Amino acid sequence: MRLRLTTICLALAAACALALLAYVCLGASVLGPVDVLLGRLSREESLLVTGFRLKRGLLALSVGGALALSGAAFQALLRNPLADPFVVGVSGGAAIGGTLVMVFFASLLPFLSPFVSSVAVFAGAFVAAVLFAALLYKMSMARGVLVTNSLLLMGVVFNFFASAVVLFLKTILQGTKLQEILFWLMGSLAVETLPDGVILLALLSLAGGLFVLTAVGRRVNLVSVSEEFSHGTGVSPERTKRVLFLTASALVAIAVSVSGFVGFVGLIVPHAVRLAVGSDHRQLFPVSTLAGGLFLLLADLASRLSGPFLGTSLPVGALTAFVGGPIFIAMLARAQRRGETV
Amino acid sequence: MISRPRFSASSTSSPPVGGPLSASSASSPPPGSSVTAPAVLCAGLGYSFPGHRAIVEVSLEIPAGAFVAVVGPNGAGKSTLMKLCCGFLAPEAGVVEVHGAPPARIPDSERGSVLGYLPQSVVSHFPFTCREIVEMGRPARRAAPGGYEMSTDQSVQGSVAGAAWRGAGATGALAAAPPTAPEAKRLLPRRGTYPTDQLSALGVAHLASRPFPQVSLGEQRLVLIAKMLAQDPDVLLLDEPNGALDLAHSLAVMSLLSQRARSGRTVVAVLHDLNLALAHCSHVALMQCGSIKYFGPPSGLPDSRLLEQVYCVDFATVSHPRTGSPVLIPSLKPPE
Repeated sequence: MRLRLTTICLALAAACALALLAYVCLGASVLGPVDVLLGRLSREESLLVTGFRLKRGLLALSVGGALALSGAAFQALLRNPLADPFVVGVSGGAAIGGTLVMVFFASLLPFLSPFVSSVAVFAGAFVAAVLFAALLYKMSMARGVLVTNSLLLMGVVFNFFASAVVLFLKTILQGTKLQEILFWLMGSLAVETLPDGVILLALLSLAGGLFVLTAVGRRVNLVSVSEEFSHGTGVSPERTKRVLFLTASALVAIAVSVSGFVGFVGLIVPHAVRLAVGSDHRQLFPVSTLAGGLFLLLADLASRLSGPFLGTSLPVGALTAFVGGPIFIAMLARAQRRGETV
Repeated sequence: MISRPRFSASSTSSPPVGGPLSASSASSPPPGSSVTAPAVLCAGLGYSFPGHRAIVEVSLEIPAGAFVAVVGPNGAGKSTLMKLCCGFLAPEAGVVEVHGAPPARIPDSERGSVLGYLPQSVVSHFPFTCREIVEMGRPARRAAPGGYEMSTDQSVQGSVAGAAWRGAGATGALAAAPPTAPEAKRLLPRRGTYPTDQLSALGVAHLASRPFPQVSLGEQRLVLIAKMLAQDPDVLLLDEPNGALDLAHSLAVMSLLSQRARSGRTVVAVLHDLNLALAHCSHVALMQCGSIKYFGPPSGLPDSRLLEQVYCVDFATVSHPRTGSPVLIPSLKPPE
């Protein structure tokens, strides 16, 4: 079993590396993979690689990984296979925060550079996501116990409230700013105005989150079955639930503040991985992370390459939902035919 | 093998102590006197749900090595009492102690080996295999290299234990013939043997690679009991272990549980079958409306009028043709 996990992870990591190379090489101007690896590039080409394609590819990997990992974590915490990273209200908070900052900058400080406003949007979204997550967490506590059902319900209701707020804020914006916010909400991996530090932060937090969650994997298994069952086996569920919520929320907060609502990755990838490697979270977490990163990287490559043909750049969030939805339904139907529980 | 300095249980099984509701002080015993310390102690226990008092002034003292049946009508508070005893619920009044420590205070690293709790229903939404469920019972620290016996005679041990439960089922008697002491030792799965052993001890080794949510309710029960046997805690708290089980499996579970009790573990099980309780258990706790109406050896129950009062059912008591032990035959009271 351990060998199998190592093999799967190594294979996925190799696939990620290959896909990243393809991601860097392909595009409006095609580069040779050997030239890229050996650094035999002209100045414009190397600027294209380091300043745009590599940056965006790494962002896709970290966002996809973070969404898939947090999706798996929320599914375990809420004991609900339909949960996804955006269900507990962290994302609604990020949307309110990001949109507020965007409106503020667009209407009051339009003279600032897009670089500054981009960082401000990131920071605003992150802070609001953390605040609202903490609020919902606090409100779902009863007698010192996190009631996951009310966390789920409050999250869903809060997301409706958040989208109403965002809808109202959108009426204030016009023109390019409106399009910018639409793209962010749909989920996009635009990196032009994003500093390298943010991408580094996303990658490091993903690595940290993966380490923490895999370390408590055995406890997560127990909690994902039932809290009473977990307690009766000698594992207090509350601490594990807190670790799950905090880690997954932090990952979602970062992913959403950077790239908006990239849908479906956090729902489908854990499901597909569960079909392949089983429900043991010590395997599900690392494999989901790698698979999620790979999935979003390939989806973004497809969205970039299809741009010239469509005459517009398709937001990757729309593409993941467009491609992922049918794949997911086909997967479910196949599992149902074979009598498997999904 | 595994040292348990703080919560060690006595391995000598104390004889069943009779007497209803023996009062005792809730003070924890001095170190070294664990032989006399009760395995489970409840004193003045109370718990209520909004608008409903589930547990009222329950005091119990369960000695180590006892096999206690908790019986009573639906809604009497049996499950709530179990959740309080394992520390999943915090008492509103009174105290619970398991081997001298409140269960909620026992650190996670030790609680799994001090007490195990089988909930009344476990619904998994994720397709863990039955083997994975059983493996969950094994605390991580026991999985350390060398600390975990991978038995080479798996099939032998499995078949012996399997024969034991088949034998219990085949006789059809309510009381399976108790195995002799060395036999019991041999039948008992070794502490921390491979999960498949626990499954085959219950005759369900063929379920090992099937997804837990897909097997039948009775089979799920057996898998969960196998997980409890793999965990092998000092105190086993089981909420309806033989709910949804067929006769043979139900008897096999009872005989496995009494083996555990004979080897010094303490077993507390919520049961609905009074005859199983009479035949297998050393103590019966009869509950009604959140309080204990009787606690003592099962022999004291059939003759008293308590059962009829608590269950509102007529009982005829006959003696078993082979064992001579009392068997209860319930019938609805005629309408007045």
